[in-house]
Amino acid sequence: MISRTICSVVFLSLAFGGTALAQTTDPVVLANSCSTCHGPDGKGLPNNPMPPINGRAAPAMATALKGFKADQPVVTIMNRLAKGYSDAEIDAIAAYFANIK
Amino acid sequence: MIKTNSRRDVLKLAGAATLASLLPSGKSFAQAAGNVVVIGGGFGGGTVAKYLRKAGVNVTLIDANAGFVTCPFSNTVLGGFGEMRQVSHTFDGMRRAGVNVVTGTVTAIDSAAKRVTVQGNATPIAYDRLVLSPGIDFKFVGTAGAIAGYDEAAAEKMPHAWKAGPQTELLRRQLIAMDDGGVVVMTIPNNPYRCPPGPYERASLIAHYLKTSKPRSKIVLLDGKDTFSKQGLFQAAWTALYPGMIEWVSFSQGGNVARVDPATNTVFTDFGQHKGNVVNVIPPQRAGRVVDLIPNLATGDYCQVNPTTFESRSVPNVHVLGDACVAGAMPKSGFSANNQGKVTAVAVAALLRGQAPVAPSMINVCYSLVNPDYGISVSSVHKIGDDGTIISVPNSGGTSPAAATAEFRKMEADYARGWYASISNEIWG
Repeated sequence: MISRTICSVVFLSLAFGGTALAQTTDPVVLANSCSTCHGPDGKGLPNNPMPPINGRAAPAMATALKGFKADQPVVTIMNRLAKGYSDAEIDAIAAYFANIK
Repeated sequence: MIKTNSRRDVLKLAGAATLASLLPSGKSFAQAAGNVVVIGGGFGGGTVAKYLRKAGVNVTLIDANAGFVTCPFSNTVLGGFGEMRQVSHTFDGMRRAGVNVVTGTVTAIDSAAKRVTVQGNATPIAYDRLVLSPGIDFKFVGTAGAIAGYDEAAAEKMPHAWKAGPQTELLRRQLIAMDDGGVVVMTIPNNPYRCPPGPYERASLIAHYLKTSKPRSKIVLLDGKDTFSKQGLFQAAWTALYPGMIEWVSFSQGGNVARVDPATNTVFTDFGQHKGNVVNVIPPQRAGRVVDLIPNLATGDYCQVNPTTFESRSVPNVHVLGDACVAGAMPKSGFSANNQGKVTAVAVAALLRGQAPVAPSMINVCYSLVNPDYGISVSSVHKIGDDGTIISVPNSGGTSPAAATAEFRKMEADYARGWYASISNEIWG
């Protein structure tokens, strides 16, 4: 995870010359928000109603999140949160957690 | 804009101090180019410390107390179904993560020499970057905007319980001691303040306790504003669960509090007076006073920051987050402070490496319980808007639906408990 952070930060730093602010949000930064409820690195916690979200196939995860965005199915908080992310951001989040075993 | 340190600068810096003090054992140089001092071990500071350690950065965390008691879920103690130990956390988890924890009061900060003095410690602690997450302090008598008559001594009679700990226990004891048929008066400030829905959750859970134990009692809310967070959801729940028990007096109806008299437990509003058997005064607030140790760090009550890095707009190498900063559309909440802490940690780690910080993405969810099995929530997703401030992403977030099944409310109550367990583990576990 640390090396992923460094790689993506270095990439953005190079791409934007180290001065202008990057406009593309890093997948790590996107994914960090999720762990507040879904546990460290999305791995969940024992006996917690918030499910783990790591190690799932990225396409299935992305489909689930895009479904939440479209209120299919209606759940509690995730419909409202998923609407705050573009499909590209959802794909990035899904790919990130898929790689955490 | 962003200062880009060359590798040579970094090496010079490392040479100036001792390498041993800069580098945690077994970590590569690239991961540890600097010392970060974090002041405040709550939701914001605790998160920064943990996430900086994940990035291999040396972190010293300074807190005046040996542990942290959370305001979130402290209302369950007042409601009679939660215990103080469930909202009390040590810093042992910080130490296990490799954070150098210092318990003591910060008495001086030299932002030019970049060092922090802790009471009783002769040697100041040097930093490359300083992170302040001190939460709030109260405007007591003598401060502009304070309620006349309300000072620290008055808080021992009319508790605020808006910093959790002994004040929470005091208010709980007063509620237990109150006779059936008593009146609980709660005063609520105008925005901005810590935890916008918190006073209304508190009213709900005190009502839950009174309904169970002292059903003839009443709660009067004297509010400094005309609308509040999750208002429709709270008021519908009060009508359904606690009919006739909670009276909300808005600003326009005379809810604004001008003065209190602790001797007689009386609150004076612009229009009249209210005597309570128990009086909970949630006072007007400002950034934690440690920010005053750096001239010009605060602008008014709070600190202006660059929302990409949470670095102060006025003092370089000093970052301010959580309740103490102005964070645009983000409310002052533990969840906000936690997400700001992650953004700050990623940004500080990048800046220490001489790299550009990446664009932030944050969320906030505030769960409130109106009874142990009835939860409601408000949520938002945050980015930097075109105007450079933190905005809520349009057409996202919002509150729980006005119409929902009991099962839905129960699920949100369970998720509220799940959220608390997760965020506590992430920060202090």
